[in-house]
Amino acid sequence: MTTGALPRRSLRDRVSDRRVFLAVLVVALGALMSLLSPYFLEVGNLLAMTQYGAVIGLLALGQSLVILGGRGGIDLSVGSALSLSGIVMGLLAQNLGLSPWLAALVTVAFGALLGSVNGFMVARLGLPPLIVTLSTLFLYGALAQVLTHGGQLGGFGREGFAALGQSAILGVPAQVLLVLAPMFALAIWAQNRTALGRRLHQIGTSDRAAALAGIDVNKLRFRLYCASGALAALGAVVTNAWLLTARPSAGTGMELQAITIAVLGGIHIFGGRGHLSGVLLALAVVVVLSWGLQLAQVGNSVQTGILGLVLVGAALLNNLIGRRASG
Amino acid sequence: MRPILSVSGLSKSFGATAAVTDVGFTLGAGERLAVLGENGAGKSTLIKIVAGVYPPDGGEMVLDGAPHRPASPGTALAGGVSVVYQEPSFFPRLSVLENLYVGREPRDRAGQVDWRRMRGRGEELFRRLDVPVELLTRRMDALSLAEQQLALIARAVDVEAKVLILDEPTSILTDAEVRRLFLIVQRLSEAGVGVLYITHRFEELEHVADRFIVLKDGRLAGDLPASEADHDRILEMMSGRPVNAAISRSPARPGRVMLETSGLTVPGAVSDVDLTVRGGEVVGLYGLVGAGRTELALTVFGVLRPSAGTMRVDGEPHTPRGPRDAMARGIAYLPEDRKTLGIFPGMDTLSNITAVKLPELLGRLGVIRRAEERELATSWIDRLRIKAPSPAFPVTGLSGGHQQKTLFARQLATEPKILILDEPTRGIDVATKTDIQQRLVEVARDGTAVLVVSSDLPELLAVSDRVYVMREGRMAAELSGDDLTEDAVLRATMGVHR
Repeated sequence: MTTGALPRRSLRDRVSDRRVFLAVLVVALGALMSLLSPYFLEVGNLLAMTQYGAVIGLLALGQSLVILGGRGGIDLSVGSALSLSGIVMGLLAQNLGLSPWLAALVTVAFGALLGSVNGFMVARLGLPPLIVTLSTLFLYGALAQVLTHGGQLGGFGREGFAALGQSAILGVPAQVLLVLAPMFALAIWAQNRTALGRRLHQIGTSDRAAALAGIDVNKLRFRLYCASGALAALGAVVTNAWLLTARPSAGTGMELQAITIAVLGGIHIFGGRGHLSGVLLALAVVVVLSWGLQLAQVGNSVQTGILGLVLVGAALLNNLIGRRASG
Repeated sequence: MRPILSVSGLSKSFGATAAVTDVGFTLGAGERLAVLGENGAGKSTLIKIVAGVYPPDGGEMVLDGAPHRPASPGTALAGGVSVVYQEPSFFPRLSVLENLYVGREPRDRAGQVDWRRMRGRGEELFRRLDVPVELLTRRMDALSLAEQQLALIARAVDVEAKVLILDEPTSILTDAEVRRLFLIVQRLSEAGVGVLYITHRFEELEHVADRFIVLKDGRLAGDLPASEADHDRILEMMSGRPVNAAISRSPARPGRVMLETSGLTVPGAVSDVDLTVRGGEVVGLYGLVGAGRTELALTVFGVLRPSAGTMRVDGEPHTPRGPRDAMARGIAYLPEDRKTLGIFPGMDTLSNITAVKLPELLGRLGVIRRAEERELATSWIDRLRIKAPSPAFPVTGLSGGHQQKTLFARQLATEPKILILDEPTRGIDVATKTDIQQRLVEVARDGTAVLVVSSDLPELLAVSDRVYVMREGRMAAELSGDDLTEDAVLRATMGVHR
């Protein structure tokens, strides 16, 4: 029995908090990169760096919500959902001549629909998330290819839509300031302050206890997958505004990056534990790392290898600290 | 008769709880010995010591003339002690034949499994025990519970058992299957196997036992030949404990009927049950594991659907489609299994306490009014004396008893009209247990209708104004006042009438 006054958070708790580790890592990596490449800290580079991060950050946020929701939650379809949503937006803007802004709205709703397919099969039918979203990864990816015959679509450079992906406000890229930052701010606020955030952790840590506490577990879990799909589509909107073309392979491989950022950010893979603010820091680590390595002319394959090392290093560190704290 | 297993001075404690104390008995070759006792009397611990699951803290065991000190269930089995547990384990997706010989498959010279020989041995075994040979090729999970049980008994017998232990083997069997089981036990006994048979069913005794022992609170309370096994004598040995005097219970002044079921039936669990609970009283619900008590509680709480019968809450018809409907009617339910159904393990004590109350603590946009929430949690931590350094302390850092208090607080915070507690003090320390018991009596005296499901008979007698006894899904007795005695409850539980 633990008795007596216990300090709110011990030093060890603080050190074992993944967020502290990540914050230190971001600063250290930044310092290292600026040594490796004299161009790293130039404003133009910082800009390009965060532009790249906005899209993957949205996917990582959706991924984190789904993983937090527990019962093996994972969304492997986010990359394909991004590709397919981008193509759908292209069809609306180029083939139907819709305003890119209106097309963007429809696209986000379409993304939620793609997520709802996962949500229905996972939450209502009780199928394993890994299998469901692996299936939709292939399904959505194939649909994106079929719809364009492998080609690409455009029609986004109108009505000032490109500004969303190519301009900066006070030195911060528009997609970061207007899309990524508000989304993360909203999510972090909801996680810490609202009943929704509380319910998310409850279903994530104990599905059955949550049901007995009167929570509609299936409905909430269904909505998490919808949110993940909508965020992937939002990523597609940002990509289209940035590159002004929609390619059917735009999101290929992004699902694994999104999962990497989520777990590096401290989202417990079995659900219910972790902070979305940690995911934001992990995003910073990954973006700094990959961009810096690119500037230092380190090849792509070596980059992913280094990312793997960081991930396993974070897991090891947590393990070591956790063991020492309990033992 | 040659003794095959003799046990003396056997003791085993778990933490501060003594499960088995100084137990001794002798089992002869070919003898059938029944082990009787209430829930929690130490029967399971005793057989697990013999079977090598737990090492004893003290005492001696001699098996067939040699010291028996099994280091593991595997060594006990190799020594000739074979057990069929009440909740058996097997490989559900393998065939019966594969389950029979798992880990000891006959091999050919190349080291491959010799299927033909395995099949032959399986058929011979099943014929010997009069079990249908066709079962051998079926998948284990395709079998009925009874067939699974037979297969497991066959497996237990096939290892050249000297001692066969059966833990409540008949609780899930139909009459015909029970008779077949008796026959098997009879044959084994004739072949010289000593059989330890744990049962709750008095009517079985004459068929399966030559002798019986009775355990009470982990101690041996009796050891008699079956010829002297009259029911009164056994009951006397099983009961007669002092009730928990630490609880003060003022006389109940029962108010309106808050909960009423009539003819309530849940397929496979509850049959035609009538029950009433009034505001202001504590009603106990006793029965053996599997008697349908938890299912009855879950039905009232909206988790299970009745197939027949009606429920009323405060006079109004109650047809919940889920726990939320039940909660809206003022019903709170403390689940049986704290670890899997109760706590949210990764979270702090505060959010574990306010989990059900949360909708009432919200401002606009679903924002939690944190000061109010913290105040509520703190007040419950104080009132129930939950030993948490702060509301933000992780719930899994609390002891089991205080985790249970946290869950108790979660239900009380909703100010329920009907409070259903399923095994509210199982597995927690005595001081906390008394605390919770006292508290639930007080909650009732404040006007709440309290229904307590418990397998702990002294507890039920201490807290209850009235006790229902369930037996095999049916209501076997309703006892109150002077009729409410340990003896009467046990009689109803075992299906024995004067």
